[in-house]
Amino acid sequence: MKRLRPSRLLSVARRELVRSAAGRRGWRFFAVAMFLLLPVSALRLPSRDTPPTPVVAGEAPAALQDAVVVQERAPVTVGEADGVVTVEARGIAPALRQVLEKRLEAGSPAVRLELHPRGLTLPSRALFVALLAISLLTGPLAETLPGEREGRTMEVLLSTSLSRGEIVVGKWLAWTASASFTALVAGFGGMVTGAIAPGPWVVAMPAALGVAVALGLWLVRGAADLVGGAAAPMRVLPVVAVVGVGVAWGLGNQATLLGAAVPLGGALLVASGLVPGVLPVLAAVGGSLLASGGLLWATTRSLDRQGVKPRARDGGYVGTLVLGGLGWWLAVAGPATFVLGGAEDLPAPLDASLVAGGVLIGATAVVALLREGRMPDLCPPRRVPQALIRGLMVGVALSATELGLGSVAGPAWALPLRVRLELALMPAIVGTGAAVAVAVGSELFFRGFLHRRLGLVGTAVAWAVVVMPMDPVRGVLSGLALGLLQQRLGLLAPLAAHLAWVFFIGKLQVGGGEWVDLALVGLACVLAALRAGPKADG
Amino acid sequence: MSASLRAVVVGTLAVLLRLSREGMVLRALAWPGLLAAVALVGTASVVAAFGGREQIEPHVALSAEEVAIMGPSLDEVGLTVRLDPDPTTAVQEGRAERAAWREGEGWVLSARDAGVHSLRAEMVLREEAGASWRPVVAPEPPAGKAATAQAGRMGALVAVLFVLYGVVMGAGLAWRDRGEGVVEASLPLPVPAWTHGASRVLGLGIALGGGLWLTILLLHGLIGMERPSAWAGHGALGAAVSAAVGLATTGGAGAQKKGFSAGLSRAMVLVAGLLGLGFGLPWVGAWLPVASLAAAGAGPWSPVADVVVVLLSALSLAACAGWWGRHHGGLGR
Repeated sequence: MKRLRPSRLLSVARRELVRSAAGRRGWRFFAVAMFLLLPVSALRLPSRDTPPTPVVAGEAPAALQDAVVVQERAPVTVGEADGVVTVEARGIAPALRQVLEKRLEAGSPAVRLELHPRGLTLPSRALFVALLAISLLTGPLAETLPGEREGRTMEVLLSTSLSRGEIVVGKWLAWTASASFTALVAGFGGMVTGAIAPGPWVVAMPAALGVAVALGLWLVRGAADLVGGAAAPMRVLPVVAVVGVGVAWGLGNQATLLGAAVPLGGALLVASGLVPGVLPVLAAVGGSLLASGGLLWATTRSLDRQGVKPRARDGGYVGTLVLGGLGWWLAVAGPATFVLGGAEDLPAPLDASLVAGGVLIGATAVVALLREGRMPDLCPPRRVPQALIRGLMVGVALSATELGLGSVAGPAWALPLRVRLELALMPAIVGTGAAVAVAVGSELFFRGFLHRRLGLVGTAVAWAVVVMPMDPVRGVLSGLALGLLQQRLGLLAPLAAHLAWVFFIGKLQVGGGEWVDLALVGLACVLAALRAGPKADG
Repeated sequence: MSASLRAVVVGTLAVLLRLSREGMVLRALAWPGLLAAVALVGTASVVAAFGGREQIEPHVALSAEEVAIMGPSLDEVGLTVRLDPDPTTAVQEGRAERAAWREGEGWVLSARDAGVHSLRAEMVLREEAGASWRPVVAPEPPAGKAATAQAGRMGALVAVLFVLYGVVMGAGLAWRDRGEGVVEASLPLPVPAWTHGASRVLGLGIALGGGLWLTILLLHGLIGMERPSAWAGHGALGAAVSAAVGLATTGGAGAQKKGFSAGLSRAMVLVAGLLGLGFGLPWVGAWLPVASLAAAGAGPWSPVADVVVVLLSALSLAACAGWWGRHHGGLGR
């Protein structure tokens, strides 16, 4: 940012508002925002003057009958044993306690309960108004830099004497002021009805919105049109805001000022009224200004680099490999982390995990193939019987080996992970759907998509790392066998082999130790490597 | 197959192919599932690595003379007795989680909360005081059920997110196609104009529904979810309808003049209103598209309601496709 002249900043800001929200359009935006914000800020929640009638199960004694409602599935069961009324529950609601003390103890209880709850203060509604106002920035942010690009006005702007910094900061100023005005009007509406008390939110809310607009501008810096510009802020801004509040709250428990200084989160925390005092407000404003400045500087730099038409980026096959592998691991091995964390009774269904892993890795491959526009060769029609028979033979040979050939024992704590990964190699035990999903999904991914990019050995190694990390020798060798089948006969052959493998595993094991296993996997490789005979087309 | 139907099928496939090549769309569809799954697994891994917060041993603070009376009984129900010089201030001053002392013929139980341990202490104290009623601690409900219910709520949130995506993607597709000349190039084809709208609505619905289904499947496989098919089904229908609403508001008459944000915000208000209706009045929302997703949390409702939702969703999709065709995606009047 070389120069920021106030008159030019104001001029850019005015043009931005006129361009996006002039006349009736501006009023429409404001009306929509108020329609969403005012109920949150100003509506007062109804309060009960009389406690609700307690609901109980069981046989209520005569003294209670007209004071409670009996329902079969209530969480509190009332009964009587040896002349004493019993109340079976995991907690007694104040309304029921009041009835019991009044009806059974004539208002002077034998045990008086005094509660001293920890000071848990609920956040002010100003926090929710600020969060909603941040969510509403999606449309306006899409109109800023992406709107200029789509409307072909970016070229004109860049060719004027305005500096890049003035363009970016002017737009930031326009939307920060507009969003702050809307949010503050909603906040003052809350003050009128008494739903929001006056407080530091008046300063903190604009500070938070300033960072949100700066972050939004940075997010849309590469978007070429309105749609691209709308997608990123909608996805990212609310998540960053909520996570920011969490981080600020966590840090604030250790050091209040540190929490308040967290960009965006600190200002939102101050707006929520959970952090009293003047210093946190100053820290929040300071942190927000610094973060906004940094983001605006980064956006300006990016504008210089990208100019009018940003270059589209493609994650490539590495991105697809990471995404597919991550999806597989999260679904198949992820539930094991809950066991490691002590939640052993979480009911993660194994069949759903394996189906999810197979479908996710397969879907990643299908999308990647569609993006390439080049489908893998399934099999020439005349070689279909040969592909099926050869695939079946290779699959049977692989299924006859035992788990554990050259396996890595791993530390004892990793046992739950190992168990789940090994079960993924024999999914037919869990269910036919899981077996088909795992076999088809992984073949589409490794042999269908990755094979063409990484080659035979690279794909075999990737297969071993993702699917068989605890059994790397067998992983690489089986990957080679399946890859050779794909090279010789097309995708149908490894697909048949993998299906045979998962359905026959555990049924045909010959035993004999690691050397026999090695020989069987070697045999699978040799069978797969045999030439396919004359081509169908001659 | 009639020419119009064939055009819809081919057009839908073309839209799906285009969407699969949009990095932005793919990131949007993959983001919620991956973010939620990585956050869950990451949290569990951190807990596994560093251990959970050490639980405070459930206890009751008593004075020396009261320990002799109540100590054994409290110990029997799993509560440790802590000797405190002044139990009356022990809880307020943070020395104990709960404390008890005699007051006339009865007892006072001071506690931070009225949870299970306090209930247990009250049971012992009431027994000692010979009270006319006493609490009995009910057995703990199975943890799995609570976990699946929580996971179900997570599924509902993800489905709501996909419904909101639907609005943005529908509005975005209509706006971008008109801006880039795709609408102008395709309208001269010898098929009715509504088929273009229908293929866009169906393509978006399949992409969003597929993405949601994969996300729910991943979360269900990870933590086990209550009624995953309800969230996936109502969510997919809601996402398709909201995409159609987005498409209709930015692809209708005069949409170009009103601007992208105006159409987007109108669609967003309509969809948010329907979701609000479902949350607020679930017995009404259960019969309406989009609202049925929000109402599903209070269900399950009658299967007839599901059938009505499917029919109304189909009608909405057809109406939005017809609207788009009638106004030539915003190019016409």
